[in-house]
This record gives sequence, structure tokens and C-alpha cells, in this order.
Amino acid sequence: MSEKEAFLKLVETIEKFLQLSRVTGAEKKQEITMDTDIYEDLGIDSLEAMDIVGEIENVFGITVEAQEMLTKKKISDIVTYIMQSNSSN
Amino acid sequence: MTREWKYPNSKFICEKQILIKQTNIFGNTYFSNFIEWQGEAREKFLLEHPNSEQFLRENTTLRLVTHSLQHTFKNNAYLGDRIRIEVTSKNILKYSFLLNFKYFNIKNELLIGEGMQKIGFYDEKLKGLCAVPQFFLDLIIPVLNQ
Repeated sequence: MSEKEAFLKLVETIEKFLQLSRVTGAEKKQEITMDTDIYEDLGIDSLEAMDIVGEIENVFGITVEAQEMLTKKKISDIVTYIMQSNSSN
Repeated sequence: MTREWKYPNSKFICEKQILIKQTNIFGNTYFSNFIEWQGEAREKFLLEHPNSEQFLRENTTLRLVTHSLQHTFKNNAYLGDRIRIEVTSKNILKYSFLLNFKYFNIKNELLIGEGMQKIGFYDEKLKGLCAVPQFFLDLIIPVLNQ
């Protein structure tokens, strides 16, 4: 999987999660880039971050260290982590 | 030994009757009752599990976290009205799930309101969020509303 493919798949995963998982309903869709900080820019909290970790495991077919993943704030860092996990799994 | 069990129905149902103390100066059901009834319906649903007592006894460090909730008011309800509350689940993930609450006036089947809660879990012993316990999956998977 290329970095671009991983990025697009990650964005799709996060957008779908935000749409389905927030009880307040559909919010204005924010553009997600490699520089997006998931906590600062998307307002994701700790529970949502854990959920996203679970979804990343499902979507990418990898096992991740949840606590380590939670330290990755930027989309670019998460993509890198996914790529590394993908190659080692 | 914990025996395996799954909730046997596709939704959990409980009822409330509007009493004077639940109405406001206009005779309408005061809004906060619907939030309170979310909590009540949720609790009753969890107690449906035959192992609830054992689970609570064995998991004293586990905390159910109400992450967020929402309610939309659709129609009025008045003194004496009987309300049917239907509980289903949605979007079951590894660390959280949604509970959906629908309120119907039994007299005319009118949808009075609809609400939702996002539930997570925190373990005081581990000092962190934890996955949805099997106990809750036994209840929420059978009532999953896609």
C-alpha cells in the first residue's frame, strides 16, 4: 500500500466515523489533510481516538498498540504508523 | 461460572406514564424528563441481563461513561399519557456504542421524541478507557439497529 492509498483510506475511515458516531448528527465536513491535527482540528477526544484506533485495525487489517497510536496527533504521523505496522504485520 | 446469554429481543421496551410532577405550567411534559427516562430505560435494560448482579460485583472498578447525549422533541405528551420507550443500539465499535431511544404515545402511536447516547467505558484500576465488556455486548448486539 502506498502512502497516498493509506492516507485516503484513513481519511475515509475518520470521516465515516465522525458521521456515524457523534450523537449530535452531521456536522460541517472539515477537509482532512496530512497536516490535520485530529485533536485540535477535528475536535476528537480520547474515547473517539480509541474508537478510531479500533476502526484502523479493522480497515487496515493490522494490530496496533493503542496507547502508542494515541500519541500520534497529525494525520501524517498516523499514516506513517499505519505503513510501518502494515509492513511488520 | 457465567452462563452465556444474549438478549432475546430486537429492542428493549419499557413504559412511563406522565404524572402531574412531570408536567410544566403549560400542561406539557417538561423536557428534562425525557433525558431522565433515557437513564432509567438504559438502567432497566442493563438489569435485564441475568448476570447483572454478578457483573457489578466482579467489576467494581469499571465505569460506564456517558460520553454525549441528544434528544429531539417531536410531539407533545400530557398528563396521563402512557409512553412506550424503545431502546436499540447503533454503531457498535470496539470502545463505544450508541443507544437509541424512541418515545411513542401508546394511545395513538405518535412519535413523541427520539434520543441517543454514546457510551464508553473507563477502568479505574487500569486508569484508562477499555473495550466494551462482553456483558454489554450480550445486550446491545441483539438490539442493533442498522
